[in-house]
Amino acid sequence: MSKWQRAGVLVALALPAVLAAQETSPDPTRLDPASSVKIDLPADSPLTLLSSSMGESRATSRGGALVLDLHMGLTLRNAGTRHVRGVTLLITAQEFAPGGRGSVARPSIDVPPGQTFTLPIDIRLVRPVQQTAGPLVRVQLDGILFDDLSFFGPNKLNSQRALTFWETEAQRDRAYYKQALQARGERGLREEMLASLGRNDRPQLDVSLSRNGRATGAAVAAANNGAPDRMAQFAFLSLPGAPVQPVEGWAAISGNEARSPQIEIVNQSGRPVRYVEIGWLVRDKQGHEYLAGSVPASETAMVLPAGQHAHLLQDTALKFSRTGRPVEIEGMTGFVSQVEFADGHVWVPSRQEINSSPLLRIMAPSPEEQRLADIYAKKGLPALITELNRY
Amino acid sequence: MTHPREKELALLAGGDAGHWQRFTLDRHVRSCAECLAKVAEYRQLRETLAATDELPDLNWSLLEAEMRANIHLGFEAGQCVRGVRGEWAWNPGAWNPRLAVAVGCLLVLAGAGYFLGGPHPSASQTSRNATARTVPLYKVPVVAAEQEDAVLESSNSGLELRSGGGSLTLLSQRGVIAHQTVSAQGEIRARYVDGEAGTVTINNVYLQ
Repeated sequence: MSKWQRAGVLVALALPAVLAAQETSPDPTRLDPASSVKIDLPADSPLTLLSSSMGESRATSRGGALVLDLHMGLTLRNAGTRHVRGVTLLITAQEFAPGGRGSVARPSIDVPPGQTFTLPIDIRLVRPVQQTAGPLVRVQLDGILFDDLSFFGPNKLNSQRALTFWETEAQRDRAYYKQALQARGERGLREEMLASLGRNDRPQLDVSLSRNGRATGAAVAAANNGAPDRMAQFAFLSLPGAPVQPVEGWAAISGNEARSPQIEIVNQSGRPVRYVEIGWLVRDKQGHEYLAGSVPASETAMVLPAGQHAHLLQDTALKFSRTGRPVEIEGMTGFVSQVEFADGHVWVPSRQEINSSPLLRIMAPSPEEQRLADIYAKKGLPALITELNRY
Repeated sequence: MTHPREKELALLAGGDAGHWQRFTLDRHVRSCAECLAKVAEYRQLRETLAATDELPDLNWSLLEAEMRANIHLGFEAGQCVRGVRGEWAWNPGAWNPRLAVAVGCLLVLAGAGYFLGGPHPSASQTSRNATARTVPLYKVPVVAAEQEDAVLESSNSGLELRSGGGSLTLLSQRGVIAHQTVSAQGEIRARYVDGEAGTVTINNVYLQ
C-alpha cells in the first residue's frame, strides 16, 4: 500500500471519531433572564432595580455539574435620601459548597439621591444538575453603605464591616491627596501619583488556600521535599496608633506551606473591640518580603473589652509560590491592619504610619488609591483633580 | 524515574492497593530502593501502631456521623467541580452511542495504524525499548482513599477552585485584576479597577 493510500485510510477512519467527539462536547446555553436568575432586593431597599442584562451569561453542563458563567449588569437607582458610598451583592447558585456562591462589591462610589449606576457581575459558579427546580442563580442585596456611614441590608457577608473599612480608607486617602495638591500643587500631586503607580509592581505571591486537612508525619515531610513541620513565631510591626497590639503569634511551617496561624492580641484602647484583622507578611530565604494575606478574628460575634487579651485562630493552610516555584518561608511578620470597635467605628493605619514603615512598599494600596491612580494614568491630572474635588 | 505517590506506597504497605495497582507498584518497588525503604517504613509504623493497642476514649458513633456528613458534603462539592476543565464525566449508568462510536473508531484507528505503520520491531528491539522507557505502560486510575479538600488558588491568571482532581476558574482575567487578597478565614478577594469609568469592583469567592 502506498503512502497516500495509507493516509487516505487513516483519514477515513479518523473522521467519524472526530465528529462523534465533537458531538459529545458540552454545549453552552444562553441563560434566560426570566427563568434562570432571580434578583431579590428588599421591598424597603433604598436601591431599586431599573433593568438587568444577561450579556454573554451561559450555562454549561459538565458531568453532574452545571457551570454558570455570569456576565450580567444591573442598573440600580438610588431611591433614598442619602448618598450611596458602597454596595455589596450576594450571588448564590448553591449554598454550602465550594464554588457555589460569591459576592460582588462596588466601594468608592458617590451616588446622589435619584441617580442611577450600573453594577457588573462577572463571576463563575457551579451547582449540581440535579438540584431542585427554581432559578439557577439568586442575586441578593447584602448591604448598602451611605455617606454618613449608616448601613442598610441583611449583612450576611459582614458587608457593613468591609464597606465601612473601604470607605474609611477612601476618606483617608482622598484627604491625603487633596492635602498634597493644596500644599505642593499639581506637581506634588503628580509626584504622589507616580509614586503610587510605581508601587503597583510590588511582588505578589500565588496562594493556595485550603481547610486544614493535612496528613501528618512522614507523608507530610515527603510532600514538602523532606521539610518537616516547625512552629515559627511571628515578628510584629508596631503601629503606635493601633488600638489593639499583637502580643505573640505562631504558625506551623513546612517548606512553602503555613498552617493554623494563631495570634494573641491585647486591646489597649479604652473601648470594646469586636473585630481585628492582622496583616500577614512572609519572608523567603533571599530576604524578600511579600504580603501573604490576613488573619482575621474567627469569632463573628467577638467582643474584646478594654485591656483584655484574645486569640485569633484560623484552621486553614496557605501555600505560597511565585512564577510556579514554591516560596520557602523563612520568617513571618504581622501587623494590625483593621480594628472595628463595638460601636461600629473602625480604625485603619494612618498614611503617616504607612509611609514611615516598610508597609508602604509591601502593603496593597486601598481600592480608592488604586482607583485614583488609574484615573490619573488613563485620563491625566485634570481628570484626577476634578475627581478629588467632587466630594 | 517516576516514583509512585506517598499515598499509593502507603496503600501498598497496608495491603489495601487494588490488583492492578499492587502489580505496578510491586514492579516499581522491586527496582527502586528509595520506595522500598518507604514501604518498609510504612509497614513498621503500622506494626508499631498495632502493638500499642490503645484506643483513645472517643464517641465513635458521633465520629461516624460526622465523617459520613463530611464525606457526603465533599462528594457533592467534588461532583460539581470534577471534570469541568474540558473532560467528560464518567457516568456508568448512561449509554452514550456517540461516545461508543468515537471509542470504536479510535480502536480501529489504533489497530490500522499498527498494521499500516511499516516494519515492526523485532523481539529483541522491543525488549531494549521496554527497559529504556521511563513512561509506564499502564496508567492505572487510582481511586483516592480520601476525599481531597477543596483548594482555592489565587494566581496571576485569576482565581481557581480545585477539588477531586478537577479545577474550575471562578474569576479570570477578563478585566485586569489589580490586586488579590487572601484571608485565612477561607476567602479570596479580587479587585478590578477601571480608570475610564472611575470604578473599582471587588469580587469575593469563598472556600465554603
